[in-house]
Amino acid sequence: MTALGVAKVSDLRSGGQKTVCLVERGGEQLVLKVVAVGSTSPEALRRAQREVELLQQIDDAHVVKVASDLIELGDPVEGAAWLEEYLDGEDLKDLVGAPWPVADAVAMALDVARGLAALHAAKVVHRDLSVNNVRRLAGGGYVVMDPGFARHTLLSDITIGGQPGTPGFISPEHLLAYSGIPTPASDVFCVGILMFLALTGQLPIPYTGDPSDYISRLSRVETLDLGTLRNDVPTEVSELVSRCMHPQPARRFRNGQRLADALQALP
Amino acid sequence: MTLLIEDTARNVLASWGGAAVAAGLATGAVISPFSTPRQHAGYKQSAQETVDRLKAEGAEVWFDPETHALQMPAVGDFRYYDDWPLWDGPRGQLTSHAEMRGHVERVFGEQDGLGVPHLAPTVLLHSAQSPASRQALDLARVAVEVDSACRLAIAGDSAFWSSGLTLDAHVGGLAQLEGGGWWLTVVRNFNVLPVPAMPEEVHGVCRTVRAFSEDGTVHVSHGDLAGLPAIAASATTLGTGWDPRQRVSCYGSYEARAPGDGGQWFSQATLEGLLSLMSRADASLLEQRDPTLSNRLLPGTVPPGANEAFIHHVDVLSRVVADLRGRAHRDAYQALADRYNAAQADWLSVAAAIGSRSRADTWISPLHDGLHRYGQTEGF
Repeated sequence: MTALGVAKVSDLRSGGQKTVCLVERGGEQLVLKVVAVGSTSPEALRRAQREVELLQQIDDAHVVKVASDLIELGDPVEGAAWLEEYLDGEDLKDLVGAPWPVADAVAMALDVARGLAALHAAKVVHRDLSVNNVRRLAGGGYVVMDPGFARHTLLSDITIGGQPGTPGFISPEHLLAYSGIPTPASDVFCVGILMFLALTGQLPIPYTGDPSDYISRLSRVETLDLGTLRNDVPTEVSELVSRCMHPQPARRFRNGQRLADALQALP
Repeated sequence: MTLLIEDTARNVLASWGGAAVAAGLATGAVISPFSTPRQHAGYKQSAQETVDRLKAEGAEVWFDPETHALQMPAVGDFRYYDDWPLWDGPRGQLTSHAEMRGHVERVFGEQDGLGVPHLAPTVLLHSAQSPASRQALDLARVAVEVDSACRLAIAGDSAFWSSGLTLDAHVGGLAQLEGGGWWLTVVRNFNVLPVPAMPEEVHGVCRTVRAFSEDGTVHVSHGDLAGLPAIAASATTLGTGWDPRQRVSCYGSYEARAPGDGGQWFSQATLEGLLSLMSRADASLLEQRDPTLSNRLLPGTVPPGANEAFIHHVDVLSRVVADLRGRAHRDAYQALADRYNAAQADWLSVAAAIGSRSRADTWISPLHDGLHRYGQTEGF
């Protein structure tokens, strides 16, 4: 707290490797995020710091604003912390379950795609887009949180194949390494998951608690059929969701901007 | 846009290749530092002379650095290669970013000097998930840093193109670079025709072509008849030529050769109806025993020599390519599948006529199976 010049107001969330607190700095309410970094290498932390620096330069209504550098905790390093703007609203995880009106799902996806577009323009891949990392503001609109450096700080709930990810919200590229690691098109895949979930109340590749079964279905992109679960979704929307989740990353919308353009072009 | 004539050890790229372009049977030609000297050398014209002669015939000309050949086992034919200043340091050294950038800049510099478009170098891949695949992605990224509009290349063996999800992910990484088109090569162990294509490899090439074709042109280097499924998947051009080494990218083509070892001229006949080659002896026997069937399948008469066989080959290949390229995705797939079905049936008639066995199992079946897998993936 001292290093970041903030005073604690209250705990917001705690568990696993992550603690989130509401703090105050000069009368401004901010969110302090503290993560355990485990065996993260010094090079991984340097990459995380560089990415946080990039994120500090992003000023977009659909991306949470990062309000500090990433600071290391402990010697040797045991954790990392940074500040974000405080977003009054609800996490997407508290809003899904029952099917949404199509227009609401499209509006959510458009805001998320715009947020991703800003990240992708800064050469940042989110890598862990899920209902835990999208927030609906009290005044309307959606904001993408915890981008990019999650990969470097083991922020996510699980890691598969060395990549972070949240069960049910993982792209096939999360399973790979070398030249096949997540790209902006992998974030687009995850927007497809969010749209599918909003439209049907179900994950397209459900996670049933068996990681090997889940990975097997994910690697073959064995998705549930949107039309079977809900038959009033316009063809243009269901085709867009399918394209987001195309097994070939090169066949998806290439990045957030292209997805946002397609969403805006929907009739 | 149909065919590019690949480079050859022989000295007829400008004359034969230029004639094919002038006749409207090919779009252009490719020169390689392994086959064409930078400066005039013995019986070989200089690269600039070759480029100029080809351009005079209206050819689109490319310089393929074929950096991927340096990773082939037993590569050793550096007669012309080492005269090309393509490396800052040791030949093939691509470990650091500086080495990659130095090589890319030198390749592009040579291409600028020849007045041909930028085609980036790449490395040979046996797996889509390996340190080498990471190196290939890094090299492509460097190429786009130097020229964002350059055409990017992928070269891999059958195992690479057969690797399913990992291939798709590798291709997805490359697609993010948004280069100015694609240049794909299937590298093979042996220089034999028909190539020993694997159905899953054909499927992988088709998926990749289909993905890349949405944003740009796709050339299938040394593709020839085995590249037709890629054309059905929307590739733009195929590489071909008169020699097998122009129709197959294989290790043996880059091994050290004895001086003057030009080999025999290749004069097998191409039968459009079979999408296959046939020895001149067998083709002549078919022509003698069943002239109607022979005329329908060739079509025409058996070419009497190597040059005529080449012209007939590019005539057949360009016609099939143009037919497929003129169709929408599903129609192109179906049109080629129909051709393969017809060829399999006609091979039985040919075998009966000449007292041989059908060769459809090697010429047609692997390609047809791979095309079928592509059709299933696309939901056709």
